[in-house]
Formats: sequence, C-alpha cells, structure tokens
Amino acid sequence: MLWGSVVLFTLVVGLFAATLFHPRFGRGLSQSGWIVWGGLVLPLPVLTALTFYAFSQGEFLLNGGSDKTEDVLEVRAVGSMWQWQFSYPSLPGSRTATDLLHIPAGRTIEIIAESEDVIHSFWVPRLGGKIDAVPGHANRLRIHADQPGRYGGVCSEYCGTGHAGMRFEVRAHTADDFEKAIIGELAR
Amino acid sequence: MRHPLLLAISAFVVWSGAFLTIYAVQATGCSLDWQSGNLGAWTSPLRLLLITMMVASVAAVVVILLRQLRPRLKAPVSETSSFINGVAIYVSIAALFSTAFCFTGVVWLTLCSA
Amino acid sequence: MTDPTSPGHDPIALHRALDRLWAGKPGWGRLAAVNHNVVGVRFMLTALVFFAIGGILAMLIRTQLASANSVFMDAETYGQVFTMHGTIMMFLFAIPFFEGMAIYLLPKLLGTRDLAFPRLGAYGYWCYLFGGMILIGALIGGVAPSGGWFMYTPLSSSVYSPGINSDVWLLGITFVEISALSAAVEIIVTIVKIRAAGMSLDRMPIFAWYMLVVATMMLVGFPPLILGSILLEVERAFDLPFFDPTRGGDPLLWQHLFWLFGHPEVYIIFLPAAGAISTILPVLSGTPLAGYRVIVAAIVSMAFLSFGLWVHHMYTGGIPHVALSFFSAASALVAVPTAVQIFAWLATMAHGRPRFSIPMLHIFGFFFVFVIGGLTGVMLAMVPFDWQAHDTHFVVAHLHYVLVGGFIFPMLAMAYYWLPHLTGKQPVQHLSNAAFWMIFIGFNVTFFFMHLTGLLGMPRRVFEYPTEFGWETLNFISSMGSFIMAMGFALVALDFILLFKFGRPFRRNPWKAGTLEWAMPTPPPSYNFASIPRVNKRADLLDPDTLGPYLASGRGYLGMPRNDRMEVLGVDPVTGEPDQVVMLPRQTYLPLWTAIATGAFFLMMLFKLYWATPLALISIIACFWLWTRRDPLPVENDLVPIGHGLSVPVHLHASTPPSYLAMVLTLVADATLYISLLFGCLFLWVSAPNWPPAGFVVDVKLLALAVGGVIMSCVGGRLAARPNGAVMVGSALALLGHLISTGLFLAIALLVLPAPSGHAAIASVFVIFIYAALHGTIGAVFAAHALWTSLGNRKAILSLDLRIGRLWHDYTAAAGICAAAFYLALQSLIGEGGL
Ligand code: HEM
Ligand SMILES: [Cu+2]
Ligand SMILES: [Cu+2]
Repeated sequence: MLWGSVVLFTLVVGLFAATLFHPRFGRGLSQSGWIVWGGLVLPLPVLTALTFYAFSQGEFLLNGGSDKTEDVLEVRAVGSMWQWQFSYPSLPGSRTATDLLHIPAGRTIEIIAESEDVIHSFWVPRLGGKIDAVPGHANRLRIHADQPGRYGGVCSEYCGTGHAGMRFEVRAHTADDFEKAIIGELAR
Repeated sequence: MRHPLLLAISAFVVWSGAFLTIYAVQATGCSLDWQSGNLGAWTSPLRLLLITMMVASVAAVVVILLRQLRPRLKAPVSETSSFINGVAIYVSIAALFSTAFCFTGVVWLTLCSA
Repeated sequence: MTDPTSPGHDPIALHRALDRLWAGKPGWGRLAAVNHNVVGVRFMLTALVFFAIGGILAMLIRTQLASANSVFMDAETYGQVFTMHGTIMMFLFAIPFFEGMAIYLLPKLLGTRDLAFPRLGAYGYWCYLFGGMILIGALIGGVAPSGGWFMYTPLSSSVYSPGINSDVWLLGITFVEISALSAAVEIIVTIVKIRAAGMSLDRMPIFAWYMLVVATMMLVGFPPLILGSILLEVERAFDLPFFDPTRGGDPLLWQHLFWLFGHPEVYIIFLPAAGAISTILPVLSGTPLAGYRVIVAAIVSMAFLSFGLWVHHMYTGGIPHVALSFFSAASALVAVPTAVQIFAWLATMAHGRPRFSIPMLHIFGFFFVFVIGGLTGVMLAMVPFDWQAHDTHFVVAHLHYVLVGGFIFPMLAMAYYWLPHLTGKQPVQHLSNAAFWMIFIGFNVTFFFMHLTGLLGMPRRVFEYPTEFGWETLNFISSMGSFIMAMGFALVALDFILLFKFGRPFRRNPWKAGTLEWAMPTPPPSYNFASIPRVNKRADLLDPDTLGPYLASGRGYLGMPRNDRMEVLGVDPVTGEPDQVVMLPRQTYLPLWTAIATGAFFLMMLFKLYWATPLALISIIACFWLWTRRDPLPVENDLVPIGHGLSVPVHLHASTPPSYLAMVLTLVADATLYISLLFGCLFLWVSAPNWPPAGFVVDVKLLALAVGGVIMSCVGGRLAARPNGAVMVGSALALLGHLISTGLFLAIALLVLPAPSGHAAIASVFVIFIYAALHGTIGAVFAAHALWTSLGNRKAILSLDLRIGRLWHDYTAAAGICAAAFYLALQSLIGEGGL
C-alpha cells in the first residue's frame, strides 16, 4: 500500500509538473483520453483489488489473525475512568487484574470490551487492531501474540482528562507461566 | 420543470435507497437472530435476503440506465436536453457500478458480530 | 413614464439611479445591509478572524506536544484547546468562508444582481456571528467544550460533563448551523432560478454546478447533526435518555447522527474549493475546462457516495464486518470521481498553455498535498488498516492533508485570483512567493511526520506522553514545522494588507478570464450589472471586455430601475429563458432583529431559563411574520416589459416564484430531520441495551382523532389554494384541523404518556409527537394568516401565500400520520421482542 501510494503520488505530481513546464506535453492524448485513462482505468482496478484484499484480510483478523480458531481464550476487559480491569470468565480461580493483562503466547485471545462509564478503546499496537468499549455493549476483538514478552497498550478513544494516562501492559507468557500468572503466583 | 434533473439522478437515488434498506435489514436481521438457521450448506436466511435485495437493486439501476440509453425520437433534441441526458447516463453508469460494488460483501463476509 | 426599457444609454446616469436603490446606508445603517456584496465579504472576514483564533489554538497544541511530559497546559485546558481548534476550523471557519465566497461570487458568475433572498443571507450572517461569539466567549471564560469536536456521548452527557461546556457546543453550533441551512436554501434557489437570460443548464459556469451540488448536500447533510444536537441537549436539559444505555438509549446513535453529517461535511468543504479550481485553472491555462459534462456527473456521483461512508469513522465500534464492507466499498469508490476531476484538470493544463502565477503556485500546493491526503484516505477506508490507525496521529495527519490541501491551498489560490476583483487592485507580489513556500514546507514538515508518529502508536488527543515511547523527536519536528507554517500565514496576511494599501489599479479583466464576474467595474458596484446579460454560449467562454461596457450602458435586460424597485430576472431552471421579474426587498433591520430574538432563545436555553423560552419563540415567529409584509408599492398584475421586446409576469404571479421553491427546499431539510429521527428511534430498538421497556399505552382513539385533524387541515389547505378556491372556508378548516391535532398530540405527549425520562422508547414517542405538534402550531399560524388576509380581501397576492401554505399543511399531515404510525409500529415491535 505504501509503495503503491508513492507511485501514484509521484505520477500525479509528475504529470502536473510536466504539463506546467513542458508546453505541448500530453497534447498527444485527447482530453477525454486523459480523463478515461487517469480517472477511471487507473484507479478502478487498483481500488477494486485493494478493497477485496482488505475484505479478506478483515475476515482473517476477525478470526484473530491465525487459522487456529478452535482454542480461543476469552478475556473480559472493562474500561472505566481511567483504568482497565481484566478477568477470565472461563478460568475459575483466576484473579482480576488492573491495567495488566496476562495472556498465553501463541493462542488466540478474544477480548470482550465493556465500559462502565464513557467510551474507551482497547488497543495494543503491536498485537492487532483496536476495539471500542461502548457502555451498554460488549464488543469483541481477537488478538494474538506469537512470542512471550511485554507489550504496551493504550486507550485510544478520548475519555476525559485521564485519557493520556490510561495505559496498560500486556504480558504474554508461556503456557506454564500463564497458569501461574493468573492466580498471582508468578514472581515478577 | 425540474423533472429532467430529478430523472438524471434517479439511479443514484435507487442506490441510496438500497444502501439504507440493506443496512437496516442487516442490522434488524442480526438483532432478530435471522442469521442462524441453515438453509443449505453455506447460507443463512438473512444472507439470502440480503443477496436478493442486492440483485434487485442492481436490476432496478439497470432498468433506469436502459431507459436513459434509449434514443429519443420524438421532440427535436435541444442542446440542453442532450446535455442533461448525457450527464444522466454518466451518473447512472456510476450508480450501476456503485450498486454492484458496494454490497458484494453480503455474499461472504461475517454477517453479525457475536 | 415612457418605455423604461429603452434608456438613454448613459452609464453614469444609470449607475446613479441604480446605486441610489442598491447601495447600503452609512453609519448605523450598515446593520441593515442585505446586499450580497456586503454580506459575502462579512462572512469571509469573520471566518478569517475565526481562522486566526483556530490557528493560535493549533500553535498552543503544537507547543504542548513539542516535548514529552510538557507542563505548558493541563489535561482539561488541552481538552478545551483541541476541541475548540477542531470546532472552530470546521464550523466557524471552513464552511462559513466558502458560504461567504459563494454569496459574493455566485450572482456575479450567474450574471445577476443579487441572491434570491438577500434578507435570509443577512439573517444567516448574524446567526453565524452570534453563535460564534457564544463559543468564543466560552473559550475566554474557560468553559469551552472539551469532549473533542465530535462530542461523543456519554462523555458529553450531563453525568460526565456536568458543566455548561457541552451545552455551549450543542447550542452554539446549532445556532451557527441555521446560517448553513439558510445559505443552502438561498444558494439552490438562486442557481436554479436567478440567472442571466439564456443561461441554460449546459451553459452555467462550472462553479454554479459545484455550488448547486454542495448546497443540496448541505440541505440534507446538516439536519442529522441538528437533530443529534437537539436530542443530546434535550437529554442534558430534561433527562430524556436517548443516549443513556441504562435506560434504553445508545451512545452509538449519536455517532451515527454525527457522522451522517460529518462525512458529507468533508466533501461540503472540498467541493467549493474544487469548483474554484475548475474555474481558475482553465483561465490560467488559457483554454476551456476539459470534460465539463463528465465533471458535472462526477460531482453528482460524489455527492451521493459521500452519504454512504459515514460508518468509516466507526470501524472500531463493534459493527459487523459485512456492514462495514458497504461503507468501506463506498469509501474506496468515492476516490474515483475525485480522480476524474484531477485528471480533467491535468487534461486542461496539458491542452492549454499554463501560465505560472501565484494562484497557480497554490494550485500546485493543492495537487501535492491533496493527493497525499487522498491516498492516505483510501488506506484508512480499508477496515484492517483503520483498526490499526484509527484515532492516532496518523488520522490527524490525514485529515489535515485533506483539509489543508483540499481547502486552504485552493482558498489561497482563490484569494490571489479574486482579490483584484474585490479591491480593484493588483498585488505587488513581493511576499507572495516566500509566503507560499513557507506555508508549503511548514505544512509538510508538520504533518508528514505525524503519519509516522501515529504509526508508532501515538493516540490523538493526548496532552502528554512519556519519553520512552520514542515519539518526542517526531513531535518536535512537527512543532517546528507548524511554527514555520504560522509565519507563512502571517506573511500572507501582510501581503494582503500591502495589496489593499499599495496595490496597482488595473482596467478590466486582469486574468483574461471568460466569466461574467469580470464584465463589471472593479471593485463591483452594489448592483453588479447595470443591465442583465443574455448568454448564448457556455458562461466561461464569454468576452467580458466587450460585454462589460455594453451592460454598463444599460443595453441588456432590466436596464433601468422601475418604480424604485430592486429587480432581477427569474428564469426557467432548464432553458434559462426569463419567466418572471423578481422584486427584491430593500435594506432592513429585520434580519438583525430576528437573529437577536433567535440568539435570545439560545442564550435562555444555555442559562437554563426554560420558562422564558416561549417568549423568545413567540418573538421569533413574530419577527418572521413581519418579513412577509410587502412594501406598499403597487404590483403590476399584467406582464411587464424587461427589454428586447420581452415581457414577463412579476414573481408574485409567476408559476414557480423563488419563495415557493424555498418552501419546498425547507421541507426537504425538515423531512430529512424527521426521517433521521424516525430511523434513529428504530435504531434504538435494534441496537440499544435494556429493551424492551415496561409497557405503555396510548388510546388509539386519541391518535385516530389527531390523524383526522391533520387530514382535515390538509384538505382545507387544498381547498383554499385551488384557483378561485374557497379561501375563507378552506383556511378556517385548516386552522381548525391544526388546532385539534396539535392539542391532541400535545395532550398525549404531556398527559397520557408516562414520564419520558423513564425509557428511550417513551422519549422517542414523546419527541415525535412534540414534532408533530410543533408543525401543527406553525400550520395554524399559516392558516390564521390566510384567514386574516382573506377577510381584508387582498386576493391577488394571496394566491402565492396559499400555495406555500398548502405545502406546509400537506407536509404536516404526512408528519402527523407518520407520528401515529410510528407509535403503532413501535408497539408491535416491542411486542415482538417479548413484552
Ligand atoms: C494551521 C495549522 C494547523 C495545525 C498546526 C493544526 C494542528 C492540529 C493538531 C496537532 C491536532 C491534533 C490534536 C490532538 O489530537 O491532540 C489537530 C486537530 C484537528 N484539526 Fe488542526 N491544525 C491546523 C489547521 C487545521 C485546519 C485548517 C483545520 C480544518 C479546516 C483543522 C481541523 C482539525 C480538526 C477537525 C482536528 C480534530 C480535533 C479533535 O480531535 O477534536 N486544523 N490540529
Ligand atoms: Cu479511556
Ligand atoms: Cu469520513
């Protein structure tokens, strides 16, 4: 997408400069030729291809960016001014953590984003897209961390004066460590 | 008196109507749970409904475009009316492409969020 | 009097005679000005003041973000600053500026003397000024809105923004939007009806096509925002829970309503600028515009498509993928008409001999910047990419590339191109080049790097960020760039001041243009054209140099004032043949008074003096009623000669006078609002949590009676408006019908329904019934007015009033029936949902 854009941009600005500095440049092509080639033939295939590619990519991401869709772990993420509470409805005995989300690496995680007050948005830039936590709704987003490690997360919908500080951390663990982490027994 | 202009945009009016109804039906269908319940291997009642609506709206736009393309033999054609007709045809072609393109997602994309 | 249309061809005497009528009064009399020259320039100057304020706020933002953990502003101040920056730039600068430009230019390009409704233009200006002053007052007082320019609920609702801040936004912006709607009506009617003779649709200057499309978009784009603002204000003031999820409301409703306006808004801002480029670029290239017909088709398509994109601002809101796909596809498609225009411009340049000049330099700036903005726009239209980039500084960069590229650079090109027209002087051009390059380089430095900051994960609207994220260098570069850009703008301002002071005077038509605005003296006289031209080819291929003197000597149409009246030609919308003479109103203070009354209403709402608002409403209605009084000069009942052997009726007797069209358009806007309301309430049923509500019932007999009332008024209105109809009986019937239905709708809403604060369903029915009652009230005023005048037997003029009244009665009937039907539909749906 980036390189495509660079090419198209150079093309248009180049044509502008050429017509300006080179009288008679482009006379060979009739006026309607310019419009048909530049206005229709050029953008239509590019846009069509891009749109359909984006559709299929979107479906893929909706499934969590991996083909393993059977083994999904649900996480409830409840935003409130100005922190996140993370809990695991399907894991009895797990603890609710504030601004710290433990996940197992290599497994697809389904975030169920909810809000107690205003709209917040859950976003971990390196793990995937974002999802708004809208009061009264439970929106879902699948994310996926390949490697164990620490990933920074932010609230990306303006939610008042504490918005800038509404950050959290995601820690992806190996399966064993994850078991310990959610019951609070993992040494830091 | 303003008819020629309104006729010129009729294809896009159909597009707008289709857009609103398809979106509304999709949302209503999800809220009433029409997406589940399998009809055959891959499709749900909601999907079938949406596809029908898409096809119907494309057909409507095609009809409009064909009418505009029909040469008018009656009344001597003034420059102005041929201008309006020309614009109308371009607009309808754009509307046809838009109608065919905008709703293709109903065939295969996720219908409702969980 | 001898034949008034064969004057002595003395330009000076003609100028005196016309100027006496059209020119404004000095001193305090300036407040009475309605002339489009004056109003247009006022709009533009006021908008520039707001641009300066918004620009200063932008500099504050950039200062704050220049370093990590900056202590320059606290979070609350920063919230107010970025909210007001966005709000001012969009609502108080961009839209009013091009409104002013259109108001100033359109009559000149169309070859006529003024807009269709000069008083409406003046009223719009005052509303804009007063509304803007409320917002600036709040900014100075430290109580400016702070929830971002799109004011998402629930952050902006009374629970989380208890202060006056959000009310300032909702009421102030709605007040300002009155001017947008009135400008839309005025622009459409003018383009459709008030043109030079012979200017058929295919001969209209391309700018008129652009503005026709833009104004139509405004007419249907603004009502959803106004509706949203009303609903949110009603929630804040009276606790009707439209957006409160605990009581059956939904924050997403606000987002839909806002963006249903908000996205077309971007095209509403871009298209006038594109229209200016389509006008200027061919002149600078010395050749006619390529692809006139294709461009018209492209902008019409663009207008439609732009209404099918709004959800691309809500991709992360949890909407199903298939629904997103409609909007994503439409967003991608809308790039095509843009590409068509860009290549039509390139084709024009390729086939002409482009001259390098300052406007051309800014058009280059436009191409460069706007194309980048368009490409990032296509990227953002793709759902997966947007999930990543949404609400980051990438979006901030994108939107500024589009808005600055698509609006500021064209605006500067226009300014350099048309300032000679406005001032009668040509620029000295010492600073212009340097100013352009400073803006251009400063802009790209500022915003190009913001793309990267965004991709590195910096969300928008954060007032501080930690050092360790690695955003600081990029932010620092952006801030430096913005200061360069600010200096560039200061240079432009200086350049313009120099032009006013030291510009060289010139004779006609400095750019060798072929459009009508140059066929008049510069600066333009108050009446534009001493006589109205006949156009026999496309209105950008004319020869102003010979046309100008010809028109000045009164040899066109209406070349001599008659009976001291200000007159323009009304033409057939398609063929452009004259079909009426439109008499325009004289200067008057009424628009100012009406705007003051309107302002009083908004201030009372703002300061919660609800008990006093009926007083304000009554005075607004009274003021508008005064508008309908016509000056006592006699009106010819037969055809009047307009010159060149043509005779046409006066507009009061014509088949489609401007005021009739205006009523049709007003109803279109009104209907858009109503449809959005009905759909919005149904949307709550589909999407909002905590449905269905506890049961509530309204006696169907009452509803049936109310529907009977509206049908009665509809029948009455039709009886009265028939040629030789029963005016008195019909009007009485209409009045009675309205009183019945209004009384019943009010009674149901206030007495029968349970408290509307209990659930959004009840609130919906409540608001819809109040809407019906409000229309009935106004209908009753119409009917009473008709009854009253028919008693005084002024039959001749009445027929137009009756036809306008009929439109209103018909619409009210439809609205009343829909209101009743909505209630029944909602009941059955709730039943279905399991009561
Ligand atoms: C003159 C140079 C300008 C600069 C340096 C500038 C800078 C900025 C910055 C840094 C932001 C992001 C604030 C944040 O998210 O924390 C912003 C937001 C915005 N700007 Fe500008 N801007 C400029 C001109 C304009 C113009 C001309 C327009 C519109 C015509 C505009 C419209 C907006 C809007 C709508 C927002 C979003 C506000 C919000 O998030 O609520 N800006 N601007
Ligand atoms: Cu937040
Ligand atoms: Cu948009």
